[in-house]
Amino acid sequence: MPILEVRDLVTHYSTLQGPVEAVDRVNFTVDEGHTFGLAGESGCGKTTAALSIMGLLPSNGRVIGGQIILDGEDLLQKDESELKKIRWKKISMVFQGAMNALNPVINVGEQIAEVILEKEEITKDEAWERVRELYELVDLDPSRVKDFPHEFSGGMRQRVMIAMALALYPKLVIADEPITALDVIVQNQILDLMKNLQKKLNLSQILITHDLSVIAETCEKAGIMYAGKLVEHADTVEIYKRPLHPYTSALIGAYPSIVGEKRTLKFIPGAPPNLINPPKGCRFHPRCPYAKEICGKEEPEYLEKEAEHFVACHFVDELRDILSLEGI
Amino acid sequence: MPEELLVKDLKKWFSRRSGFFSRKREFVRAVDGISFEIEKGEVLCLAGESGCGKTTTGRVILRLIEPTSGHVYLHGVDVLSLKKRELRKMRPEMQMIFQDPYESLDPRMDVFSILAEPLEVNRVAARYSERMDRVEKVLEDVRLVPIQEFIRRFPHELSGGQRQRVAIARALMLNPRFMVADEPVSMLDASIRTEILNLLTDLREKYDLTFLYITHDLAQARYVGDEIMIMYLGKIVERGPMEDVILEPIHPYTKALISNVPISDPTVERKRILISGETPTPINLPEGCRFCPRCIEARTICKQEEPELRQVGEDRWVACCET
Repeated sequence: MPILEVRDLVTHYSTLQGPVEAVDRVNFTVDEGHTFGLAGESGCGKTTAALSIMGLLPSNGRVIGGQIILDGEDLLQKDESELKKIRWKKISMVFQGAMNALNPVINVGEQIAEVILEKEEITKDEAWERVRELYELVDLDPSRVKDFPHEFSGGMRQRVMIAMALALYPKLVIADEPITALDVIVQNQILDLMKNLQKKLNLSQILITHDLSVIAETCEKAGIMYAGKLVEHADTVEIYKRPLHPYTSALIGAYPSIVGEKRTLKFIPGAPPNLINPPKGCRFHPRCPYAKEICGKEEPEYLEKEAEHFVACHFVDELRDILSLEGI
Repeated sequence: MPEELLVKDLKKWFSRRSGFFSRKREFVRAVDGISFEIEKGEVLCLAGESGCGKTTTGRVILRLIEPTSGHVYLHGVDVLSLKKRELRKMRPEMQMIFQDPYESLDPRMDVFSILAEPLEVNRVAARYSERMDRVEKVLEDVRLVPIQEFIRRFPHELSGGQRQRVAIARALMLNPRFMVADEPVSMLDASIRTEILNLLTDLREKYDLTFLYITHDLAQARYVGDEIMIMYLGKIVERGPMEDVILEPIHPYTKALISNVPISDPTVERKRILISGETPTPINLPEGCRFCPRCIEARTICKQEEPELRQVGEDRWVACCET
């Protein structure tokens, strides 16, 4: 049962050089109680997709088309005052780098209580009571609610951000690069916490990351974005074992591994395109080793090529065997 | 054959006031007595979590910051005792690649000026044509081709990967023999990262370079290095040939670190060693082993004695009371 359905989402930013097609006809679903991983390189549109869902795009960004259906309601049909009621109560977000943006002169507990008091009509004491509960939920010591951000380590500050996102018991949490600036051991502590919360609260999550190995370890389903497009979307094991898009396969092959045989890594020549004037046809074709004439002319359709495995490539059937061997 | 780089009991303590109004000084022991050597042509990876002192180590070796005590010998020359003028003569031989190519290149200089500057400063190529030849050769070596397309560009007209190539080219201009690479690819996207790593591997052969490669990413270290050294709170806890350490770590910290590296295969089940807490700052260090408060294998002796880095096998060194 999907809690969130994103259909044909198109988001543009207006700039002096012209509109940037940051997200172009993106489709995915998030199942209830599951974690959906959204991966891709910097500038591929993953954060923009998240901000579109939250209705928090910067002033030059605009959703041009599509539907964002949360629990049966299309968020794009709602006005700001209605969205305010949904934001944080039904859907919330852990912003990238926000753990370093806590107010340094206000104690942490108060910053969480502020979120609760802003959205709900309860007394201060009740709000503080909930702050303590949230502290316990994210494995922080409740006696430290009056501590200031500088007294917390990076991992603990990220726990605070998660507590804040959970303050109003949302059903869906979007976490944008929640572990990026942390050390590996702490990264795993945070990922474990998120996994536990998912089970405990039947929480649905979208995990945005540039690091594919994080997706492999935590998400049930994953989507790979490239240059504003979702190029592939499937079960995580499917994506890793039988990728159908050349970009996905190349990206997986670009990560060195700590286990198994040491192997030569592949790289993708060139760099991601400028989205003011993206390449015609398939946006990946200038860097794709398998590109043929048609790839530069016609945009491949985004189709369900195998059960619950969506991909946008002209040559899925021809490449199926080559890619799946490469991805291992 | 003598080792290319020999580091002996190197220390760097930063002093700071213990409180805003306090007169008392305390020391951040960023690098606290480390010794190692690198053979010629080898890549030694220095790995550890943030704040363990790996960047400070790299900078002290190149004397970008002055050490508190210790010795560094580069092919026999005592780098730390050199006078200013002698040091300047030595500089071309030891270069550094920095982490952030968005900050390490002057935004007002084009690629040619950035690359020709080291030649001018060191008065190696007097004539413009000589400088141009050298710049073109190095640009070709770092595969920033076609050269004419890039040579007059400014940093803002380059992508992250191209900038890092320029930074690498700049480090190569004076034919160095030893290089410190401080997280040279951690700012880059995965698809571009590999290209730079492969480039560094090629250049190492071509220029006969010896590397100290600093990284927090063990999978990356495994890909580029011959040997690895794990640092924790200013000390080396384990050292040895790359594959041996990665596949059979001995120190509990190394074990935990390796077991926590994410792997990009969802079908492989791995046992992670969970350790609590985070790396403390190296100010008030615990008695005995520094890792002891977080160590799952700790015993009473660990709290009393600070373990020395001891040889435990051929080329394997570990600092743990248990071994």
